[in-house]
Amino acid sequence: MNSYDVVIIGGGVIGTCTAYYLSSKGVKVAVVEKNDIASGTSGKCDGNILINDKKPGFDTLMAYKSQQLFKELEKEIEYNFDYSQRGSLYIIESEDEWDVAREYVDQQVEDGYSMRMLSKKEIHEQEPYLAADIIGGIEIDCDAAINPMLLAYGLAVEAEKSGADFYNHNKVEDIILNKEGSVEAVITDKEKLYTDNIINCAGVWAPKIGKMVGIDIPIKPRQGQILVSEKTFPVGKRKIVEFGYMMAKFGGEDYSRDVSPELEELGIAFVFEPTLENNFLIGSSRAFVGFDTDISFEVMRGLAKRAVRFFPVMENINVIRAYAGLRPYVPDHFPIVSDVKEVPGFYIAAGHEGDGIGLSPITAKLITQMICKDTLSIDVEKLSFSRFSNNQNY
Amino acid sequence: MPDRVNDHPILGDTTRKETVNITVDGQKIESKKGEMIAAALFANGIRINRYTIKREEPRGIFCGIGQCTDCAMTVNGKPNVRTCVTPVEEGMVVKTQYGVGEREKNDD
Amino acid sequence: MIKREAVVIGAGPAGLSAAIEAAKRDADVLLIDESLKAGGQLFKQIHKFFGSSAHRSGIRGIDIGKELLEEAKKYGVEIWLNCVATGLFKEKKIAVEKSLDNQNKTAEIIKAEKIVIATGASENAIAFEGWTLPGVMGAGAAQTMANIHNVLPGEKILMIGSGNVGLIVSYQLLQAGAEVVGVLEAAPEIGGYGVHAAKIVRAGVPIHTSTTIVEARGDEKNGVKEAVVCDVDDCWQPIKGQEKIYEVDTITIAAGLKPLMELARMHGCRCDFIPQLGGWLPLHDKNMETTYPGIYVAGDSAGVEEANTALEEGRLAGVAIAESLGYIHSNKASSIKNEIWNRVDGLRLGPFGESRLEAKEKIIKTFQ
Repeated sequence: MNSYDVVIIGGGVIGTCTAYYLSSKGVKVAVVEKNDIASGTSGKCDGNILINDKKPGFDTLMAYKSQQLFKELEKEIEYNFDYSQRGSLYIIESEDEWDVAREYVDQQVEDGYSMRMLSKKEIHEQEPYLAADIIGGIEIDCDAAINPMLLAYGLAVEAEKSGADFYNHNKVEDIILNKEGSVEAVITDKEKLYTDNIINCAGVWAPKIGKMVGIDIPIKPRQGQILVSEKTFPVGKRKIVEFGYMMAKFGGEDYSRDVSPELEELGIAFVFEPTLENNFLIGSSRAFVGFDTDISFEVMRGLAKRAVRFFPVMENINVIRAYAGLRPYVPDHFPIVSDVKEVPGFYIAAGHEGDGIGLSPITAKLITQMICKDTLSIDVEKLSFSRFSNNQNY
Repeated sequence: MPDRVNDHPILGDTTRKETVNITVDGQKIESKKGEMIAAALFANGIRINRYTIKREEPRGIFCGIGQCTDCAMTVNGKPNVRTCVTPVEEGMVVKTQYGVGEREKNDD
Repeated sequence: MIKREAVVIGAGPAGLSAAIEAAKRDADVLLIDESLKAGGQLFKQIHKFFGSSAHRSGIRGIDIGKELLEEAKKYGVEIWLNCVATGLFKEKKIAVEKSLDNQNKTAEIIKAEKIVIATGASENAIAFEGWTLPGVMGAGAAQTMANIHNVLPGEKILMIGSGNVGLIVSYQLLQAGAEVVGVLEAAPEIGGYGVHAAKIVRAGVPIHTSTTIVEARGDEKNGVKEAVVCDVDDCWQPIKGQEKIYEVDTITIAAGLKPLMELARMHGCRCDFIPQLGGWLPLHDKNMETTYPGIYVAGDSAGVEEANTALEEGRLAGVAIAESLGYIHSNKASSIKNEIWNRVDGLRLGPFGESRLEAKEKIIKTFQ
């Protein structure tokens, strides 16, 4: 009979990282994955480890803590997952943006984060290929990048070394609760795994798993598309994001960019990520289209247009690939990292939207601390599942 | 080294008369109007188009029809040009591509 | 967004004949191809084709190519050359890049009622030590250099593979003036037709069966200088101590072809792995229509066979499109298609043809 202390559902970065932390503490873990490691969202995203897209306060703190954990992971994990800390840059298009940016930087500096405003002269010296009309930027030192697929594999390999079992190509079909309503077993199309604890790390598919234990998890798939360039010279030195990205991400703010209605409708904002292989990735788009992962030409064209607006030199650089992934969207933009009061033994670690890669270590750490009943690294009230049942406005 | 085929038992006289001058790594080369860059290089005894980025290994024509990109070179300041499907033009500047190649900066 | 009744992707034998058959019956047809010249691989086929007179046997590929181009012109097929289909998006939207080689490069979307994917095939590579050295190339690449660009790919050439491509290209390299030092075949028997093999043996080129290449040697400045070959045992493994060295400057690989089916797959047409026809390919019915209504496939991209078969499959797709667009009555269409089906069956005879016939019939059956 297969019996485990914890069964993790989902083999993306959240699932594999949780398996890594738990198994290294001696907990007997199984990971159940319907396809293969990093075959879902973790294989169709970019590799951001950022604080620059987080709101000041709790949001930033959580991301910053996660960044520190990445530094440890890079040393602990044998597998090279292309970690690089090159910092990030916000580019500012207008005086209006400058004022908002100024406020943002003042707040973050007051909270102790290392970032500064760059004048027009400074930003063009640092990024010579940037469009001439850019009026300034924000430089953030701690931001980094990794390759998410390599990370997930690296974590899985380490977890296996510590005794974790991986059940890939196992689709979860049901979850059995005992008479008291606590977790008892996970049934896949191939196995039955007995356990007292289940962690739902299934990302956009987390609601399906939730239904099996009778709970509604308010996660919706939000599609994002990304372009990949050919290998070329370093067009930009680090992660570069248009300041309007924050607005596109959170929406509903009293702010609008000077972009065509088409770009606005497609939710396109410029995000640039150089890889260690000399390619670069271009994002970002956001759309609610169900579980559709087909790319669309309109979005590809929109992404390219927006990129050329900021880096005219890109007009002559070839795009070699495009892909779409599904980000697990939660209405209040906070992930769910929580136990579930109604179902003892059932935990959720999902709903990170576009922050799942960056927040994977802190998420995994928190869940590990919950299961091992250790002191929590940060206060998790804002991440609790119960926030949805308390009739709060989320 | 390889040469042009000018007299062919099936195709007959295949001599191409009109010539086009191109420069390859600084050296002037005579090529034939309408032919692909890679063919002109072959006819002039050059069959290395690029060196790979990681191991710096040489690469030459492999598929000959624009699919494999092994024959990519820097042409008129633009890297990654598939020379097997790009015809020569008068005054074209062709360079062996090392890694990702050198790109001429745009004015902006 | 540009709109067309029918768009054919790929102007080789299959694509040209599909376009002609549809345009002949008044369909509005756009044919696109990434090359600067239409005809696909026909213009490197300087040999005479086999088959009955209905299949234009005895005619060289280059001449068939010329005829097809004239016909396409006659029936008003619109042709965009230097134009690559970069993607096939939802609901039959084709993304294309026009004017690839100049500053006027633009990206367009074409919405098509009917699409024929006739993108052909790509050569298989085989990996051995030194296979990336300049001077190791596909047999098709060597054929292109000799017959299209009229430049010799090498002076002393070793051919790997004795299928029809390996045999025919060896002969054509001789015709172009190169020396072919030998043809290697890992299997115990020659892969291609006896007629082709006999021709090169008569010309003094030895064919070594149960022999494979193990290494290409050379240097970073000049590429290939030597080929190390070796006899293989019953399990196709090189027998140590049996190595031989050939002094050659070029090694050409004729290890078969695989269908170029990315566009079909991108659109979600169901694909399967059919080894007799080159590997992964889009499933299709007798009209060459894939699992997505309105998307057809023809020629090597529907399973690797010969140019004659590609011509016939293209015709089938063209007639089927004209029929479904209402340009031809279904009774008339049936009788035309019946004739084509009979001719196609005629092309799938003999030991090689039969396995292809079997595979094709199985595809059509599973499709229903």
